[in-house]
Amino acid sequence: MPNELLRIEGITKVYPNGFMANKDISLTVNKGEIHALIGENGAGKTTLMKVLFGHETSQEGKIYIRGQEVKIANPLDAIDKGIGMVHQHFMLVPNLTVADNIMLGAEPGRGQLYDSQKAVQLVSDAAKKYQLAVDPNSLIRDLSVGYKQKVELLKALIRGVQVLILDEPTAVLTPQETRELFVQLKLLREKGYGIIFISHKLEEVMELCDRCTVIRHGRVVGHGEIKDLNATMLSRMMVERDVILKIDKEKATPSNVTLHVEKLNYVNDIGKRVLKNLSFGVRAGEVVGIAGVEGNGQTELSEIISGLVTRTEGSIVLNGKETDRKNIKQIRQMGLAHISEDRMKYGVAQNLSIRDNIASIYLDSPQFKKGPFLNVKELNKFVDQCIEEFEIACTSGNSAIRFLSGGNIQKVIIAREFCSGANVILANQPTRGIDVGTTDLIRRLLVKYTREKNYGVLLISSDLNEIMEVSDRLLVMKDGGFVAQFTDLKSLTANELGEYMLGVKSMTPDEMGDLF
Amino acid sequence: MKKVEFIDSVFEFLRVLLGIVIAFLICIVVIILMSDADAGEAVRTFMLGPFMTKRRFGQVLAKYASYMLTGMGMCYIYSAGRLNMAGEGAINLAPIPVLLIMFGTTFGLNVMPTLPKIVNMIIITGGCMLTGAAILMIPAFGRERLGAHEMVTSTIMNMFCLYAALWLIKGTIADRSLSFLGTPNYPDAARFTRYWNGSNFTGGIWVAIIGVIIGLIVFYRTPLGMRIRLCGDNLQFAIYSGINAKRIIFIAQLIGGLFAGAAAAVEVFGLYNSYYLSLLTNVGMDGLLVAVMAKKKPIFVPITAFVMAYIRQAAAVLNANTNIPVEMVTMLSAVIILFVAAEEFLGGTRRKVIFRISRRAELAEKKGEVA
Amino acid sequence: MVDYITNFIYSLIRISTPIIFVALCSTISQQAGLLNMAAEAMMLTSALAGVMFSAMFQNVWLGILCGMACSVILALFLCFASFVMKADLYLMSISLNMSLVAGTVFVVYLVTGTKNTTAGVVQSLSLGSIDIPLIKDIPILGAILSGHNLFTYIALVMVFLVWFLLFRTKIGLRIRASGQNPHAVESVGINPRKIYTLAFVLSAAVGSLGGMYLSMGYNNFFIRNITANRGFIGMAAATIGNGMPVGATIMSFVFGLAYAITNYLKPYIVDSYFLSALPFLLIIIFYFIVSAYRSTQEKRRLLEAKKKLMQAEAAESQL
Repeated sequence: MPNELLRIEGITKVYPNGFMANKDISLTVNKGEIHALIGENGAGKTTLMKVLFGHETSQEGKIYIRGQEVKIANPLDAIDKGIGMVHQHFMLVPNLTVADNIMLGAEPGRGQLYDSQKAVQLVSDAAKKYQLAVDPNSLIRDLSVGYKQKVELLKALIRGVQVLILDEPTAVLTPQETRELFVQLKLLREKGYGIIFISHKLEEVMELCDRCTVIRHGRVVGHGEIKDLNATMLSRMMVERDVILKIDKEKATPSNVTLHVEKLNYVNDIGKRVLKNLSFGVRAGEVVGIAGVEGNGQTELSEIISGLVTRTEGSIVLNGKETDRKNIKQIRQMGLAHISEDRMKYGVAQNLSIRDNIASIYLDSPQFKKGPFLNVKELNKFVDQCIEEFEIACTSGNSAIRFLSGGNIQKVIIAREFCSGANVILANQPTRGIDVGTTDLIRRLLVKYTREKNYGVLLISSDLNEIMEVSDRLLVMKDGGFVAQFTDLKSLTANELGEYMLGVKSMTPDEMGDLF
Repeated sequence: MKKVEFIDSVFEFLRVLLGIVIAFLICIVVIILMSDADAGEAVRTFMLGPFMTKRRFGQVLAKYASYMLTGMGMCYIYSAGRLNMAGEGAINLAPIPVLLIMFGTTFGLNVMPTLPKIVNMIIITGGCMLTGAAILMIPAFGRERLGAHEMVTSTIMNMFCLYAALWLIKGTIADRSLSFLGTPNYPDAARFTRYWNGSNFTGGIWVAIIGVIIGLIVFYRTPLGMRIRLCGDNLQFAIYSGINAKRIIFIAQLIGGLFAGAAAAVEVFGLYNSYYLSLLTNVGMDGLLVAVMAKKKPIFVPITAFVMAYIRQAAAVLNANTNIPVEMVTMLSAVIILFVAAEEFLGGTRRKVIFRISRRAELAEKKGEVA
Repeated sequence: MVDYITNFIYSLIRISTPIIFVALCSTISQQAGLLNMAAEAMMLTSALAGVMFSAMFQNVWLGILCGMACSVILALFLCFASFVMKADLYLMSISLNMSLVAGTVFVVYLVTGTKNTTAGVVQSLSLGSIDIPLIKDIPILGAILSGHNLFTYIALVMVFLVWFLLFRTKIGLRIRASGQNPHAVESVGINPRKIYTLAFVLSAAVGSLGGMYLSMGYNNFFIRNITANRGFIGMAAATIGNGMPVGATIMSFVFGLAYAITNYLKPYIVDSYFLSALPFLLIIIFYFIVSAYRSTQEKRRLLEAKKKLMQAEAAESQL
């Protein structure tokens, strides 16, 4: 094909821990085409792009550029061969000017001299050529996110790349900035560039792209021309329930509201409004699930509820008490347990023992204190109980966390949080990346604690199987707000849920009903 | 899994051991090269010298006492993730308020010599500890409140402390009959008793022993110690668990200051008869080495402090008895640190061994399943 | 009186020279985002090596070159230990300082048989003073600016050179970029660890001149602990100067001034120890004030940026 710019064939990537991130993936990008790569989180999109950009090497597979087979060993190689990437987290140096940032690594000038005037000239020429209005002399730290993205685009373009990879470019943009970006991308398409557009926002894909490839669990599950497809079909391809782990549960008997969130708003550090007027409640004795594609405000919601991040406005009432201006410790004492989505960052201290990790939130409880000292005997007894009850596979409570498998680490966290006496459990992605056995255990426990101990559980998950199986009531979050509520989960299908998550459908507030 | 844990700790230990052994071997090679007459004798002096007479061994124990205290203090600071090195300055400056009381007030001149020794020791040690803590708080304050790098401030602090100490003494309590700047000799009731016929092994060892015990208990057996460890290992997790991390890091440095102050008391009121000009000890910096060798784990401080004291005394003995200067040994501290602190040293072998073991375990498991 | 003042300024420049070198040395590493805690060790090494090699070759420039080379080798060792062997950079730097304070004494002992100085035993060379033709005839100004050691003029040129290196060369741009966002540097295919190493090597080369000024300009021999912690003073100067060559130089002069005042007042004031302590006290206070100012400025800047963005969003949502 004369139009073909990039073709990848049979890419297979297995990580050292045995996880197969990509399996036999092939796709082509033509000149003057925007190719969408879509799939759920963890489907393998990012790995594929890392392979393409030389951050990772694949075990199998070939990459062709204009029909020529190439090997890409590192990012420099990729740029040389004409592949450029705009990372989701911008790779920019805040205290340097736009021109310096763009020309970094390809600086103009004779010998070792850096000709900054020439750099400014080159950048403003390129800016004109690509109609990206940037001021080469302004400092990056003073720029808005949308502006920074233009700089990133220009950084790739000025290096003469033919294929541009954009990794979820709209995730950080305001709607206005997104529209501008689309105009620019369409312009580039006219100029003959090939663009790979990674996203899970279907409406954007439908509007912008020419062709698409859908991947799920590291495999290509569908591809085709956008004009032959519609959003519903795409969402069906993306979302599929695989192994169904059934959980038998009695009907929930929700009582009073223990977690009451009202008109919660949050504007993040870069000025994006992440949470929009959220109001909902969790009652004792029920599991409320929040489904949604990642990056729609779930992380921020859980960090605000747990007190790690300060809200912009709104009220959160926990067991009848307002949590505003309370620190994390106070919020925990008010009855919140928190299972964080980032296990290794927030959940454990790797080099300390299981005992220390469990004890971390009990350091004030009189049960484990003897005068000013820790009651080590009690603590050890408690830890041994936890190990037994939650089936943590370890040599003893003194083993360091880093010797445990991911599943067992999560069990340590679960044990710590569930036994704390808190009656509201905030579980954010509690089973991500964990073996089947532990996953099943954790899900059963979430249900069991609501039924037997009358806990309220707020479960945030992007795993459809989990969210549909465990929840008694399900909310769907998109762009920082709720777009649907389901109270009857028996009749709900994954496809239907997927359509709400991906923005194909949405409910009016009346249809959603009472969220408390 | 047990095996992996075991191998892991073996490698950790091996790195420390190898660092010390290699530094030792370099020492011995240099000694053999340098000693013109009897290399064997020189090596013997180096290896066994510190144990050969009571006096020398007393010196080892004296250093041991100081190193245990500064090492313990640095463990606290270092495990909270800070490199506040004002301990060195604290050794110089912390005894000054006590000295001013001792020689500058009627209480010190008339009452202290008559008080029971134990009371005096408590006053001296307590006074030094408080000042030591105050000194370490300055870089800590700069770091936690103002964002000034604690390494920069604390090194500058050390120099300030040295001169400030001399200044404070000179105008006030200096003994003008001396040809150098120094205080009068301490009254007998206000210094640590020298054991073993006036060797440097003094009652300071009790302060060190009590200090280590308290240090260990606080670190391993109290909520505060647990919080310090959590902050040092994973700050984010500590915050997530509801710990006021900033306060804890402050307190860790405060405790480090208390220990440095105690070391100052043991050093200044034990090894010396008066406080004088060139009493530069380097005990504070050596304390950092002790803490690093102990891998920030106070439980190992009694061992690494002894190793350190032994090495230093061996060098001193060598210096006194042969033509080999004490600096030769000090020079090798970087070698020890390199081996102990370099995570990648033996890292490849460690990974290989652990990989092989887990593979074998996996295979055995599979076999078991088949059977 | 005029004589007195010109003398004072002359000696201020003389005293500030080594601090300028170290401050510039620390400036380079600071632009790469790392503190050069080992500056003291680098200075000591080169101070001794310069003396030894100049005596050996009987050529002062060759001596300086070798001194510089030794300092660079030390920097390479430091980088190997921390970037390849993954030892903590600062821990390694501190232990290098301890090692080199002792190590230089050891070498002096090996060569001379005493532990104090190379004076009288090692026939080392040094750089002399230079009279600047026209300027030296100008009254007052000539007495201040002319007749300094060659190293002093090198230091002043070095301020420009370091500025030029950091802000006008490709490697300078890469050093600054690595200091602020190593990921950005990595994403365009440059290995930031290589840049760090390069920065440390350059830093060591500049710092070595400070060490050699002390043993081959200010004095013409090496005495133990000749640097007297100037490495840390220089580091503080660079930190307060915010990693800017000119700022670091100005701070070096400020600290030099503190030293010069101390020196000048010593004969008149009994409390010489107070004066010795004073510069350090001033440095700490100064550093604290500057840090406090910077952190509030940074907070305000972030706050304002956020406010601006929120206003923009509000305006947009009204549309």
